[in-house]
Amino acid sequence: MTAQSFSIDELKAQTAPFVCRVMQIEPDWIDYNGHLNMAYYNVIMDRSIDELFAGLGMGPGYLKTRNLSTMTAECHVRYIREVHLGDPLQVSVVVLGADEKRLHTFEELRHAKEGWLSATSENMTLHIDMNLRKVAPFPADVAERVRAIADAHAKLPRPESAGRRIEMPSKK
Amino acid sequence: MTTRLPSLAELQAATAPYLCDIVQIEPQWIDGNGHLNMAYYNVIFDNSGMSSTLIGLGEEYLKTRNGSTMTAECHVRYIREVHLGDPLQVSVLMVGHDEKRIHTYKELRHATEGWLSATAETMSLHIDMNIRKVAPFPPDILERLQALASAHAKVQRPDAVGSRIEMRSKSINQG
Repeated sequence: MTAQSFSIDELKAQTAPFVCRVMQIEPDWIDYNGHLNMAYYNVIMDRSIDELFAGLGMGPGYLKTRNLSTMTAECHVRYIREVHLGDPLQVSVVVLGADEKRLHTFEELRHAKEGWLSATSENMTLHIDMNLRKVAPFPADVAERVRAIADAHAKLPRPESAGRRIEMPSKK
Repeated sequence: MTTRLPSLAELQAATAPYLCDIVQIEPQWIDGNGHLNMAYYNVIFDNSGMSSTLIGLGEEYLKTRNGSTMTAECHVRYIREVHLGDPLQVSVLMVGHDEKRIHTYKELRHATEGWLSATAETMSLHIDMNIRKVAPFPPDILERLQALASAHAKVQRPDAVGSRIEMRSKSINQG
């Protein structure tokens, strides 16, 4: 599959979260609670965000042709509502920020038809030179696209739970 | 399988993070980068825990008492890549708990070389599966959690506990 990257103008016009394709839950992702296991939310969201990366010029051929890739540095998932086998799911992505070698994103996983929120995922992604397997700046063409979508998404409201830490308020 | 749970005295004496069984990476967990895919760290973290072996929660608890736990939040930090064949081991530190929640911090390390590959901070909720709602732990479970919490309170808190995701400097756009 050759993924098409977006033009700069298309990216500048992204004044809404980037919406990924609808995904289906696989039977072996269901755990003994009878719902989508917490780990496999990440499988769905990781596969979904690849569509955004393809749009930024970092598609399936990026590693093969340029020996560059991305790796996740951090991921914070909040589980809001259970989903079950057969529920169609759809991820949307907001770019919260970017610098020359990092992308900060916020994903929402929703029921694709009914629209309710099942989970959110905040991620920090690093750009990697696979010759050295070290963090390296985006090449100029990708950096330009990253900047374009980051500028466009800066106009969106910042998700309330972005930057959240895990804590238990003390009641003792 | 019936697990023999440690006594309360044994839990109170467990003043180090709990070490889980060594696990192996499965081939289908490797992605295009040739390493363990980010999502499957969570499979390993989720399968490695102390709920069933120390506390008395888990699948057997669900079957016999119709209670369970669900994850409310999970924050993973990916420190070093791991590859097919690397034996891995998770350690679990109980950071805190209340009458219906457990806050844990886990480290995933190379099982023989000891270096850190990832950390996971998790908030888990106790669920009454009859109504699928958050509910207090029964007294026997809460007693065990308190015993373990008193022991783990003696372990130094890792810096990563309570950290948030942020881009500190040089941002093109901080939104």
